[in-house]
Amino acid sequence: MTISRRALLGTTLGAPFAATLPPLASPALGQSQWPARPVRVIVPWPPGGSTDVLARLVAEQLSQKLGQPFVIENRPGAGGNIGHDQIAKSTPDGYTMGPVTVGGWSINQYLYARLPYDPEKDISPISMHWELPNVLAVPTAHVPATNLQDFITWAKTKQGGVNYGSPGVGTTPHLSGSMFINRLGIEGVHVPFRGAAQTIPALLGGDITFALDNLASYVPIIASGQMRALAVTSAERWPTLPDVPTMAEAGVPDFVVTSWCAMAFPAGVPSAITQRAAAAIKEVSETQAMQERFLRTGARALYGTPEQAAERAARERPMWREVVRISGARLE
Amino acid sequence: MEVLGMLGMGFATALTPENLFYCFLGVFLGTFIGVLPGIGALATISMLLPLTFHVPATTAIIMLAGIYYGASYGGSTASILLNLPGTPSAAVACLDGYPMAKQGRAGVALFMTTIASFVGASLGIVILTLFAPKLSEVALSFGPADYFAMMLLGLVAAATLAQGSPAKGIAMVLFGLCLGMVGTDVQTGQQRFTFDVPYLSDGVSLVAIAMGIFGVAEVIGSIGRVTNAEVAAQKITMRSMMPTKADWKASWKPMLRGTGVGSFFGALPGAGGTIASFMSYAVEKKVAKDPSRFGKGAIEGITAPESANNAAAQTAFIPTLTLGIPGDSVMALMLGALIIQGIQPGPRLMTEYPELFWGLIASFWLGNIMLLILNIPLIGLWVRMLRIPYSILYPAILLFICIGVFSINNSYFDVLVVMAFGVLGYVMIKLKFEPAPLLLGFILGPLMEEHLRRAMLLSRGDLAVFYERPISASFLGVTAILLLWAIYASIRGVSAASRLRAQAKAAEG
Repeated sequence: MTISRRALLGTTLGAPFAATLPPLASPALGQSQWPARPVRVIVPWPPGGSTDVLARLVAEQLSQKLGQPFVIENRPGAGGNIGHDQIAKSTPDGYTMGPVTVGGWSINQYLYARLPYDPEKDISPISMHWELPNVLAVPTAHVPATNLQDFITWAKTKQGGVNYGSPGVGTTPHLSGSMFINRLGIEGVHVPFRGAAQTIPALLGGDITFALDNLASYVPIIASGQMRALAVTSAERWPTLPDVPTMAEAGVPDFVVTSWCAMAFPAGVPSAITQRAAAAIKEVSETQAMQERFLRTGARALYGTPEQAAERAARERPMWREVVRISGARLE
Repeated sequence: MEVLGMLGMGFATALTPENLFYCFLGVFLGTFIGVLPGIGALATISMLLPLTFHVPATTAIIMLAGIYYGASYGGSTASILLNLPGTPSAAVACLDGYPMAKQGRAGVALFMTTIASFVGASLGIVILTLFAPKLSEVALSFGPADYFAMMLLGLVAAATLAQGSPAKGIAMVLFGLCLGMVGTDVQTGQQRFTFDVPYLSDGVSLVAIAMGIFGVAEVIGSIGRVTNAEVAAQKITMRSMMPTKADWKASWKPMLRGTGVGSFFGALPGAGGTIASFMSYAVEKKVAKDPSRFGKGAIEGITAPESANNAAAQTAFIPTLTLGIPGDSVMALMLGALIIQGIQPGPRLMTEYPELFWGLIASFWLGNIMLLILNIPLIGLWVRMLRIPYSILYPAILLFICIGVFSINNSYFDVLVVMAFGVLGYVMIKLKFEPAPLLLGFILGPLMEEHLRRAMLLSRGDLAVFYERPISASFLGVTAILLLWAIYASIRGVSAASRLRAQAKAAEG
């Protein structure tokens, strides 16, 4: 199984799409008043995590820009599905939105036996929001390899195979880890944890061998030298880890897997409001200051048109369906 | 000496008027939300998060941390006065604190818990300051097998929590274990006992269970009782709040033991204050000369757990500050606050942002002194609260519980859960089943299962891992000794009883 590299490259950066968005000041067909009252931003994840922190950064800027508070409301649980469902079932008047990650758009429908909402019909994207790659991290004290090829050779000869950690069944770190060992013929066992806060100590203690986990939590521990980053799964090198090669550069082609997130309205919000919201997100996200703040939390700030986000969600569905099938993950 | 120099710099940071003010604001809010049942540090911090965007990072984290450890000071107040744990870790304080209040010793109990909190927290800070790097290494050497063995010891020790019939105690632990099974299985993603309700897929909320079986059950139980005249009639004088010499004498050793237990559990990511307070209660009951006093107002039963959970609240910062790993959801939120400020917490925090790191530590010292000064005068106020007629007080409490439980996940389902557990708790009171073993089974069960299965995955199913790892082997050894001793004690008890019967028979004959 391969992942089309071109397919994943398409919307990596929002920058080229600036021209297609209407300027913020233009009156928008009767909805020029939006937002006329506070906007609820439903975050389907607990406070303090990447999705929450990044949504708060944008919400704060949107409040200043549009003169109405964008209020964060955390509705965590069930792999984001409770929050996704809340967004999907809210009134489509433009006053409820929320960040929906790749799981909500393109993975959960293959993972869960039942979903309370239909990702293709019940939610509609406003704009891309952010993306962050996974990093293949190994504990320096327990794994001798200093590059990916050495690691693959070492892992293949390791008695009893290797163990890889993830923040749970069906998460992108689990799916990409499973894809990695399958593709390279490494004998490995998946050990799920409840988030990077448990995976990192297990790596440092030598209980598990590697993790292909979301980069954000690992940058400081890599910088301290306690862990070594062997490759990133983005198409290009990552700005905060400039010395770490991409999977392709390290000799594993067609392995571009990133976690991404797009802001969503429930389906049925008037197009003028969606356009205006997309323009506002672009305006706050394209500034140098915002790009840097996002990078410091480990992600890259994105923006774009609703169509671009919908297109990416649709394009990645076949790939994730295949990865889910191979990993054998099923949540019912 | 280097530490002293750094600490000096930390105090210079923490003593600026702005930081002092925010530190006070934090501990003040913390005390209040700790007292209010249900509304915890998590909800408060997430509500105040937007405020922190506009102050410097150090100031923000000083305030948020103040809320966190301030809440663990206040948590036991409602447990003692009303049998209503303000936080899950304060549920233990109900066991002996509430009986003390019924005996008219509420003031003493509150005074001693304040002192115990201060002792636990202060020693916890010393440990944090001096041994943070060492302790984080120890925590890293704990693998899944070791965690499992430790929790097993905990569960066996917990058998001592039961005060009445041992059979009922065991039944409650098992019921707790069953409740802990509800939710998504971490290893396979299988949904267990969720009945297609998405709200159950992350399990039943711990706060909802604790509030339900202690708090709501107490409110329902009070319907039959007519007045609170006996408590209201008590005079509140400074003297009635002062502990006697005997109280001090009975308390200082438990406080130290509690601090030790709490510091240890606090430093392990994911263990936390609730387990620490339960464990230290179990330890006290084991070492006590007369364990039968527990549950009837034994002062050690509140001071040791209180020291433990406050020490844990301080040492919980060890994994957070040295590795950037949050020990619980509140810590995760505080790390999120730092990240929003553009500071990535991690192993290099201490060297990259020394002012923030040492300023925070220094603010812990100041915050705890503020808490001590703040809490002692408040005791009189809290005790007076008992004079409010039940018909006003209890509906207000129910309202706070509902708001508090809702605020955790913004989920109305959790409000239904708390009410269901309230009814269950009431039935349990009537049938003389105790809630504490249930709570412990519920907390430890899922953790044990997770670690057991993780250990088995890593060892490819080889059980030898449990006795080959020194940490795990020692815990299992202690567990075995504890079990053997319990069996020996009960056999001796039985044979002594039969000897007595035989003698009595002989005397008759």
